[in-house]
Amino acid sequence: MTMTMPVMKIASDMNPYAPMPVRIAELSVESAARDTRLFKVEFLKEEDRVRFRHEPGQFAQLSVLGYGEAPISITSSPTQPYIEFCIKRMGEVTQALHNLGEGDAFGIRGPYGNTFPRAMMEGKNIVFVAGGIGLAPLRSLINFMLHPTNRASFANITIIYGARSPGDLLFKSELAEWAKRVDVRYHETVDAAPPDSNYQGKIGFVPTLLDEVAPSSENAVAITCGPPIMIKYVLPGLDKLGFAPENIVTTLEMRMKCGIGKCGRCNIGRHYVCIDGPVFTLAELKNMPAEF
Amino acid sequence: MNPKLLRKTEIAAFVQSLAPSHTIVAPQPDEGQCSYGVLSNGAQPALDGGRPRKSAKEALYPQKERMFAFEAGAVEPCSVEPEPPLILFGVRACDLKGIEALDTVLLHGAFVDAFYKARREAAAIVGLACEKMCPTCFCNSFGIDPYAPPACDVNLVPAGDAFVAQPLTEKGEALVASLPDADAAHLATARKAGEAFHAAENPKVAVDAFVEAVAEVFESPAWEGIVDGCINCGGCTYVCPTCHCFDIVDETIGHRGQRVRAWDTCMAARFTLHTSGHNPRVTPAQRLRQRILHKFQYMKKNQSILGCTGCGRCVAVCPVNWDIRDAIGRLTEELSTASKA
Ligand SMILES: Cc1cc2nc3c(=O)[nH]c(=O)nc-3n(C[C@H](O)[C@H](O)[C@H](O)COP(=O)(O)OP(=O)(O)OC[C@H]3O[C@@H](n4cnc5c(N)ncnc54)[C@H](O)[C@@H]3O)c2cc1C
Ligand code: SF4
Ligand code: SF4
Ligand code: FES
Repeated sequence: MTMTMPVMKIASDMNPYAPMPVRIAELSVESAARDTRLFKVEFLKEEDRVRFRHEPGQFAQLSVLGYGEAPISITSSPTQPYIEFCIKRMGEVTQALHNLGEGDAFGIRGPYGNTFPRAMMEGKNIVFVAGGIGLAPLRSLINFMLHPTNRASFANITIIYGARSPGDLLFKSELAEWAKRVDVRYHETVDAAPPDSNYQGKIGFVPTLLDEVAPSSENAVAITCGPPIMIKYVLPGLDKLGFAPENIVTTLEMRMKCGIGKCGRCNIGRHYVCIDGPVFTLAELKNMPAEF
Repeated sequence: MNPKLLRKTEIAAFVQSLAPSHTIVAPQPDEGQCSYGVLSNGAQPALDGGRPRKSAKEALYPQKERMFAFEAGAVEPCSVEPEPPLILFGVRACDLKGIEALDTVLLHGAFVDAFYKARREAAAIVGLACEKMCPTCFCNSFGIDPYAPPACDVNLVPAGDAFVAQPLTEKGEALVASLPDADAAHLATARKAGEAFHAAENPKVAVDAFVEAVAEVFESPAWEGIVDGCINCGGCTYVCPTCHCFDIVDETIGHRGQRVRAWDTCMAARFTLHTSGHNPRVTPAQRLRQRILHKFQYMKKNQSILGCTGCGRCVAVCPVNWDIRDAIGRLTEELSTASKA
């Protein structure tokens, strides 16, 4: 016997599950395989735009009505006057998002999750180590730190980034700008380059490049995100360079639904990745069960 | 607050008198047992049918609930007319405790579940004391006493041909205001019912020792050892008064549709499956560990409450007779020897 309760209606602004409508202002294909796109969006309602205030490290639930929702990092920095998401086509919802064009609408809820622990990074040398789409969540923090009002709060900034192929390097024009800046040490690599490409850079995996660049761990914090296989080798690499677990920061993925700590899906031990994360230090992760 | 008297012959009329302005959920006959359900006009609550098959959580947190409707790619604005408030009538102590556990998750924390909150705050809850414990229940192990029940507005205590209705809150007092005061004879009978319940010898499960034993042990072969034929059907999580995990899905017909929240179960492999194919919990033992640790460790640490009220429904419903009481006993033994070793 199933109990049928009267339908409960909750006004959208009180409903934590109702998305805010946004419009795609600009869309660009970011990868050679055409499976990753950058969405620049604007809110359809002024009050939503005013209310939505995010910090680097947070994510949003993106929704295409009729298809569902997917948690996606906010890749733009709060210092930028718009919101961006970099989305890799994986399954149903991300495919539905990829089917949209400029001017089309979809929904977002958020911002959700904790933020990169910026206070502990101030005055320190910063080392970013990213692989593939793992650059998307870090990019928000990178551009935040590089913004003129914040740059002086951080010492040296090193960025080590790798992708499968030259065409898969994301945010290409931005990478070029970072490479040109005198206050950024930018290093990139690709797993392999097709013979017909005019790629001049390094070939090899991110952990190898990390060993070569060998950034000092002195007064430094490392922030890393990438595929599990990369993380598996980057962590020992950072350890060898002398980075303490407290000074290694990463951001995690777990399957999510609510994004607000209710649906019970994204926990690692007692911690919910949607509200206690997605950002954790390695020291915190070492105190959590290895179930992720 | 004065205890009131509700004669068994007058229950239907009393409930009817509340009905026009309220939706009433009460136990009703269901295939030889009973289940909580919305009471239709003139129907008689089945207060003597024993423990309802599923918990009362459904009334506040329905198995499937619409979050919003949409049409042609946009959320439909909704006009919010207040629904008639709920009266949960005849709720067993294990389910009262279950509501307390749901409150800690859905009403508290950085975000509030507006759907649960709206129903919960408008609801009046009338508890019902059990005359004896069912063979599968072990609420006594959690210190739950149906005669000094977890939070509710009125508690009904059996007193022969009547119930003594003890109001416990102002809301409860208003609800039973129309009933006559309980007379001395019925109060004495009710007191005896409580004494008999407390005097009965019922086996207990050592919950505190278990909570202590699971506090530190995540990796242990003991988890593999308790799988015991569990087929991961998830039935246990659906009948449980505290299980609250849900899925969110879109249902569409043409351009119209709705987004619904539906109960889900941590016992299913796809619960944590990433699109990449990676799954942090692939084995049945990992999923059972999650169910048990969520109840006895994570909720204890995060919400300061246990996620089990000893209602015994999971024991009764399980197709392979998996028994949480046995699992608690075995794990306590194996995990405490493991941590000492
Ligand atoms: C905090 C966080 C940030 C993320 N940031 C990005 C990003 O910036 N760019 C990007 O391309 N991807 C990101 N992801 C991964 C992305 O959420 C999944 O690829 C996506 O949910 C797959 O959904 P789908 O509908 O296409 O796949 P399907 O398999 O059709 O969807 C199943 C549903 O399961 C859930 N789900 C499945 N896999 C995951 C997963 N790995 N993580 C979370 N939920 C999942 C979602 O609710 C999804 O709707 C992030 C994940 C998390 C948790
Ligand atoms: S009801 Fe029994 S078989 Fe089904 S998941 Fe629960 S313990 Fe396993
Ligand atoms: S775990 Fe089993 S005994 Fe405990 S509250 Fe849930 S259904 Fe009842
Ligand atoms: S996604 Fe629902 S609890 Fe984290």
